[in-house]
Formats: sequence, structure tokens, C-alpha cells
Amino acid sequence: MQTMHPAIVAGQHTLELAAIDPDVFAARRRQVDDLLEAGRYGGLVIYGDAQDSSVLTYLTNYMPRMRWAVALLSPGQPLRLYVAGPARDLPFVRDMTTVDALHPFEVFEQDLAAWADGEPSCGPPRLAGCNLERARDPVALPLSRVCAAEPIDSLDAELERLAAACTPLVRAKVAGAHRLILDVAQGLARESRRGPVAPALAAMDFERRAYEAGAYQVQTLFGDGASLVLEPFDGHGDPDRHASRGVLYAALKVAGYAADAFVCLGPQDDGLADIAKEILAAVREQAQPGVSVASLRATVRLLAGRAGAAVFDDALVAQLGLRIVPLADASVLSAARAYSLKLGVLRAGMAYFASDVLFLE
Amino acid sequence: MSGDYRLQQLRAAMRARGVSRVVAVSSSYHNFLDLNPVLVCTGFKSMGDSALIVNAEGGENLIVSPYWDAFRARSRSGLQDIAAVDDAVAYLLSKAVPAHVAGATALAGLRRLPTAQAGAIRKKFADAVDGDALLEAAGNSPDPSRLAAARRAVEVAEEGYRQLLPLLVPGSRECDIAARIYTEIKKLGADDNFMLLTSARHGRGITTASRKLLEAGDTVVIEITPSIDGQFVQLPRTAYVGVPPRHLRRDAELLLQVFEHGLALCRPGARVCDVARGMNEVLARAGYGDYCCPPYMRVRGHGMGNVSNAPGDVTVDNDSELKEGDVFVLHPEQYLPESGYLLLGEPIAITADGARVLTSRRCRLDAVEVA
Repeated sequence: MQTMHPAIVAGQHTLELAAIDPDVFAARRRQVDDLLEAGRYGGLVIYGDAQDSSVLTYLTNYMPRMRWAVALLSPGQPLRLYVAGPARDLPFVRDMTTVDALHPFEVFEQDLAAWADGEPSCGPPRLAGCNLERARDPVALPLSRVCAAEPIDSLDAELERLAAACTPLVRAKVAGAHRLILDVAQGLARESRRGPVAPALAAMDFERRAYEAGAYQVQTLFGDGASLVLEPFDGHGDPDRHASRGVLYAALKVAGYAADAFVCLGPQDDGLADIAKEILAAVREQAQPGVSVASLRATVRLLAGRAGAAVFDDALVAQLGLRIVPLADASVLSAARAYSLKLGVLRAGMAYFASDVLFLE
Repeated sequence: MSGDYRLQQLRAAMRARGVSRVVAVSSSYHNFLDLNPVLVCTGFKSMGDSALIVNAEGGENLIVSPYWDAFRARSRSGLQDIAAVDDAVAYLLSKAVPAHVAGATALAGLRRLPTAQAGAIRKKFADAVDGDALLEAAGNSPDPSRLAAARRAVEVAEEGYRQLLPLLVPGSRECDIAARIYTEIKKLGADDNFMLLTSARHGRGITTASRKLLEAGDTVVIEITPSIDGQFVQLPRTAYVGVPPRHLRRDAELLLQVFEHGLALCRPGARVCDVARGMNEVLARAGYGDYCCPPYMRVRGHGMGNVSNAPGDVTVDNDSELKEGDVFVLHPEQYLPESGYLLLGEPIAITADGARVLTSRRCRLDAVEVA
């Protein structure tokens, strides 16, 4: 679900914490080299920023906290990473990434020009790009200047497919992130069982506990449990405002991998909780490779309607991995993917939100 | 609402320049150093991309995403004409928003969007002029609510620092300290906090808190930067775990002199580059002239805030003039060879005849007692 992007991404993320074997990164690199060779590309430009760096992270473990980074990759050559931000930050970046060739972004355009020219004997290589639609002027303008003669082909779909594949390692990482949410949430839920609840404060407490437990990029929304409205804490209103119950949406990353979930706080209407869980179970059973999100949404609305409940299903299905990707109606579920299923139901002035994580083999 | 005054200023400027319509776009990618055009005019900070269409003769249309954030948008902005959609830029590019109106259209905020997205918007509003200066002027206008927000943000930052100091004990983890203070700052009403905290025997910079355990003898550099109503203020501080050695006290004192000299140079009409040069000169006289450049330092201060980011970075390249009402941080952040990286400074406001420090407790090298 959409949350409020912070001024700087907080939390723990280093190469050591990611605990991914260097051989895994080497194998990923070989996959990309094979892709480039198959397409007869001589170079690949990958953009990543603090909102979306999934392919960059897939290859380098690096996730920008505030600005952006660009990787230049030639088949068989070490990857070069250009990092926006003050030069004094580069030593800290080193802890996050497998990449040895780290450079300040200031030298990007001059290096890009030399790289795009290729070897004198071979001439300019055919170039591919990833995530370049997100690039802002400091990256996009040099690219358009240097690569004016030949357009850069997009390999977004192919590379995102590689990065999204739910291998056993990815499954373990996503499951670990999801488990952290549940572990932290259970503590909050226990403390709030008898109500009343201050949902905004609970969201803040969740963030603190999740960070203390080692999470990265913790983002939350909260609601008062009396409607399907969820909001970020934006400084307005009294964070100490209490309600008889509350709901949190939490998203976070652990070791680079993201998960999200709903958490209900305070005393709950068991009947409504059962309705939400039954609908979720039906969706889970239906959610197989080849099934569209639209058909899952139709199931949710049918069952909620029968129960006389209004439903929040905007975030029904999201793909989990190196980032959370909300899926639109036209999307179809795939094998070897991790997903979160999330919905909220409202009846008689009470809301219940339920979620689950799903690994499709 | 907090954007009302600025919206009035924008309209006045539009009429003066013959602009009939401003189309202002804000990215979901919030950066505390950048203006947020929609927030400038409405006081509303959107989660997704957003846009605001302001008509010179009255009326404004707010486009927000995601669609389920409509309630918050209405409540925070006070506006009624709100299109809550899945994709604000797609909506802006659709037939729902006319490409042409009678009179000139100005576009604002596009430089902060992905280039491809900005290109599509420019293509639709092909006859539009650049409206960034209009939004900057509105954001930088002497808006009483912005200064009030800055003062409140300073109170929050100071309280956050007051709570942080006792946590700097050997064995405590940087990230746990930061997580706690981040939460406390929010509980005090800040919607965001650009918080950095780094401890080291001999530091080379500052970044987000890591898993490092604090030790006696560490120098801890801290930036607490809360936001109230889009106005960020920054509290740059340095603390030592234990009794600070003499060289550290000496170097911290030098940075305080650099700060005081910079502060004395700040007044309406003064050029930012002259302030930076003046600060550098104090360091040069002390023999550290070669250190007045990256990677030993970045800037001598900077504007911040999604409403006004005047006066930009305090560097020798910035020849803009300080204006009354500018609120920014003046901080001689500096690596020095004996002490490592230190960070001291204050959020200040430019007054009619000088500058005023906004904090109640002036920065100094703080020492945390070790049992």
C-alpha cells in the first residue's frame, strides 16, 4: 500500500546483515550477463533510488537511503556504482554493497561518456537500461546527451522478473520480514487487548520496536477500527487520541526483502474477524498461478456483500520481494512468486483488517 | 489552513505576471531539501504523487493519490474540489484537465519528477511557462505560520536532543537510540525527522545510525531534523562519551568561533557565498584552509523544508542574497585531522537587521558522563 515516503530511510541494512552468500550475487551477475549476451548488448545502465532500487539491490545489495544511484555494467567486467550524495558518505555505502568500484555521482557523466564509447577496437556498445523511467534529471539528462545517437533498450521486464523470482533464499527472507512484523505486532496486540487504543501512538511504537528488532524502512498507516480509512501520521491531530480499537498497516524490509501486513489492536468483534478471515481464506485458496487479481477482487466483493460488510480491497494483492508491488486488476499471479493478501471489512461501525503471505511454487 | 497565506501570495504573483493558471506537481518522493509545491499552497503532504491547479481569479483543484487518501486531503487542505485518483499524473494528463485555458499557464515542480514523467506533462501543456519561481516566492514569503512552524520544530528538536543525551551510554546501540528518538520526535508532533547519528573514535562523516555499540571515548555526531507543517529545522550537535580530551575541546571551540562568525555575517542582503567564505576564513587562519572542501566538509549550512528551502546551500558558489524571514541551519560541519568529524551549529532566522538563533540552548560540545 502507498505510505508516506520519509526524508531519509532509516533502519539497518548492510552486506553483513543481508547474510547473502557472495556466490549468490555472482550467480545473479551471471544471469544478467547471459541476458545481455542473448540480446547482444554491450552495456547495461541500472537506476535505483530510495523509493525503488529492486534490480540494483538484486545485483549489489545497495539501497539508497535518500537519493539515487546508477550502476554501469559491461558483460564480464566489474560493475561500477555511482552514488549521489556527499563524498563523505561513500565509506558508509561500502558497508551496504558488494561493489568495490564505488564512485561519487559527480563523475558519472564523464565516466558514462567513456563507457558508452566502448573499446576503440569495437566501437560503441549497444546499450540496455533498467528502471530508467524513474530517473530524474541528474541521471536522465546525461544519459540522453551521451546516448543520443542510439536509444537505450529497456530490459525492465526481464530484469524485474529475475529480481522477483521467489527462490528458496528469497522465500526465507520474505518470510523472515513477515515474521518480524507479526512478532512485533503480537506484542502490541497483547498490550492493547483490553483497549482503549491510541492507533497513532501504536504505529509509532511499532516503528520503534521494528527498528530495534533490526528492520529497515519501516512504514506504517493506522486507523481507528471504526472505518476503512487508513492514514499516515502527518503531524496533525493528537497522536494520543484513543479509540476502542485500532488497526495498523506495516511494511518493512529485513535483509533487503520486504513484507507487509495488517494488525488489529484492541478488543475485536469475533464475528467480523471471522468474516474477514473466511474471505481471506477463500482468496488464498483461489490464488493460483494464472489467476487474475480482478477475479480475486470479485470473490472478495461477493463474499463481503453476502456478509453485509463493506470492504477495503485496494491493496488486495501485492508482490513481495525486494520491493512491494501493488498489483492492479489486470495482473495475473505467477508461479515462483511471493505475495501478500490484504483486505478490510466494515460492518455496523466496526472494521477488521486481515492479511496473509502467500508463496506460489 | 497553513497554506492559505502562501496561496494568496501565489495568486497575487500570478495576477502581477499575467499567469491565469498554475499547474503545480509534487512527487511522492519527498526530499527534505526540496520544495513541495502542493504542500506550499495547501498545507497537505500527499502520500502518492499529487497536483494542484490554481486559477488566478479564484478556485483551485487538488489531485491526490491514492484515492483512499481523500478524507485526509480534504481535512488537511480545507479544499473541496479534490480529485482522489489512483494515478495523479495520469489524471493530469487526461482530458479531465484542459491543456489550454484563456491566458498563460505556468508549470511548477516538474524538475523533481522523473524526467520521462515531466516530459509528458510538458508535452501536454506545451505553451506553459516555467512557474517554479512563482512557487518558490510563495513558499519563501513571510508567512507567519511558517515561522511559527519553525519555532515549534526547534522546540521539538531540542526536546529530542534533551532526551537523547542520557541514552549515549557505553554499550547502547546507535540504531536503538535513533529509533527511540525518532519515535519521540513524532510523538511531539513532527511528521518526519531526518535523523543522523554516528559514533566513532575518529569519525569521517555522519550517516544514519548503525548497529555499532557506543564506547567510552566515542565522539557522537547528531542531526535531529524534525518537520512541522513541511518546515524542517535542523539541530546539529556533537557529544563525547566521557571527558573530552583537550584537542577535541579546542577543535569544538574553533567550530563555535566559525559558527559565530558566520552568524555575525548573516543579515538581509548579505550574499550566502560571503557567509561561507567568512566561515572558511576562520578555519584557514587556524591552519585548516585545505580542509574547507569535500570530503572534509559538505556545506556550511543549508536551507531545508518542503515549503521554503531558501537560501539553498551555504557554499562559496551560492551568490543569492539572504532575506528577512529565511530560516535555515548554519553549521560548520567539519573534519579536522586531530578530532575527526565534528558537527555544531544552529537553526537561525534572518531578521530585519541580522540573524537570530532559534534554539533556547546554544550548541556546545556536550559530554556524557561515563560511570
